[in-house]
Amino acid sequence: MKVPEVQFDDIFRLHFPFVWRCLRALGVGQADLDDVSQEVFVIVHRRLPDWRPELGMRPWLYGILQLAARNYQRSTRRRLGRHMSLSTEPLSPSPSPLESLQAREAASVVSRALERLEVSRREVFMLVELEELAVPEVATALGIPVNTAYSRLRLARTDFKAALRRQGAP
Amino acid sequence: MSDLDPELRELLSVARQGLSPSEEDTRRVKAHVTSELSNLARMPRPSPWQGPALLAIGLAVGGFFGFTLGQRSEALPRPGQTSLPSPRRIEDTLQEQRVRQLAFEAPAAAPKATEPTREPAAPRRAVAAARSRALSDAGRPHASASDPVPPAEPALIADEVELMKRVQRALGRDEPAWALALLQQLDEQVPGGRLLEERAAGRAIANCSIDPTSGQEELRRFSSGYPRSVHLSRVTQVCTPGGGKSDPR
Repeated sequence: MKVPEVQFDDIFRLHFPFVWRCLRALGVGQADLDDVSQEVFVIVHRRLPDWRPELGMRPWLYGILQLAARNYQRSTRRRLGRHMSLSTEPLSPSPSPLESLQAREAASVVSRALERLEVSRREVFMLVELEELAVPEVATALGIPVNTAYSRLRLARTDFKAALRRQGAP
Repeated sequence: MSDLDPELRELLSVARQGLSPSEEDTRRVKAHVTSELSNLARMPRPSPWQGPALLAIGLAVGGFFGFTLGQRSEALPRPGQTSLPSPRRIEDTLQEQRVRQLAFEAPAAAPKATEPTREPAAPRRAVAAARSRALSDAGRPHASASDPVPPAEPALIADEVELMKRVQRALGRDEPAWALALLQQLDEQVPGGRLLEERAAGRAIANCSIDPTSGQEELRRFSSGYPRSVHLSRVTQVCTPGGGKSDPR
């Protein structure tokens, strides 16, 4: 079945920021975000006929981007032989200098705190608190029971607050 | 459940803006995606060379075979080596092609790992070179005589060869997800085809790289389908725990 181009364009337009943020939170460096997000959307285009509305778009997208991010981390670790850390490189400029500065600082603080979270908790926290997905959606995206997602979220919130305290943030 | 304070929620909200792509980021990536989708949709032009197309398949198989075995210096053409129209001729050509492909994938010259979608010109040159060599061999007795492979659509053969090379390069760059996407495209674009064994090997290697826990199942599936495959040792190596997954090349 051929995917209508407009439908794919809509998906890109609506969900590219989600994909971009998630890839960052999953450790894809700023220099590689273009390539990895491009890879994600090419795969999305290929697999779009498999998507079903009951899956939800963002949980389905997350499954694809998660795979791409893991592949990226694996290959980068092998190539560089060092531990991957979350991206804290300078961010793209925002319209207002003040907003830009605030956003950069906040993003840097949050990225460092997220980096300290265990990966499975980080994913749940990011999807619920940053991306505002419902917990059942997150459970679907991660392929885990809803109760497990709630449990991870509770632990992640505690860890996140502790990580912020260590940074001296609120 | 302990909820987040309003201050933390505000921090996350601002951070969300900072983590989001700019309009320029969006335009740039969209342009790249559109360009790549156009490349993927582009079908190679039909080839008038029926016999040489079969040799091109051989070159692709040889390339994949080289990929599975790794580089060996003795594969280089030896001084004084002749190109007589003997059965060894095809094998020699395969070895030459393998060296060329390995040169594309040499770590020092390889593109960064997340560059599967920007196909360099080199692979197309390789295909053109293969076609050129095949054309020069067209009149030789071995080129079409006694070849057990039945005739096939040349355009589809060219598609299959080219896509299989891209799969190979994706695996060489340790990008199994991208390799799987290309294999899916290959299945849709060229159903059936001549390189089913290579597709199965590539798929098994990619799946094992992505999910090592599936190694035994992938190995069992491949070995039952192709028990005498020349790729079996490589699939076994990648799909067996501790069997050398650190370098799938």
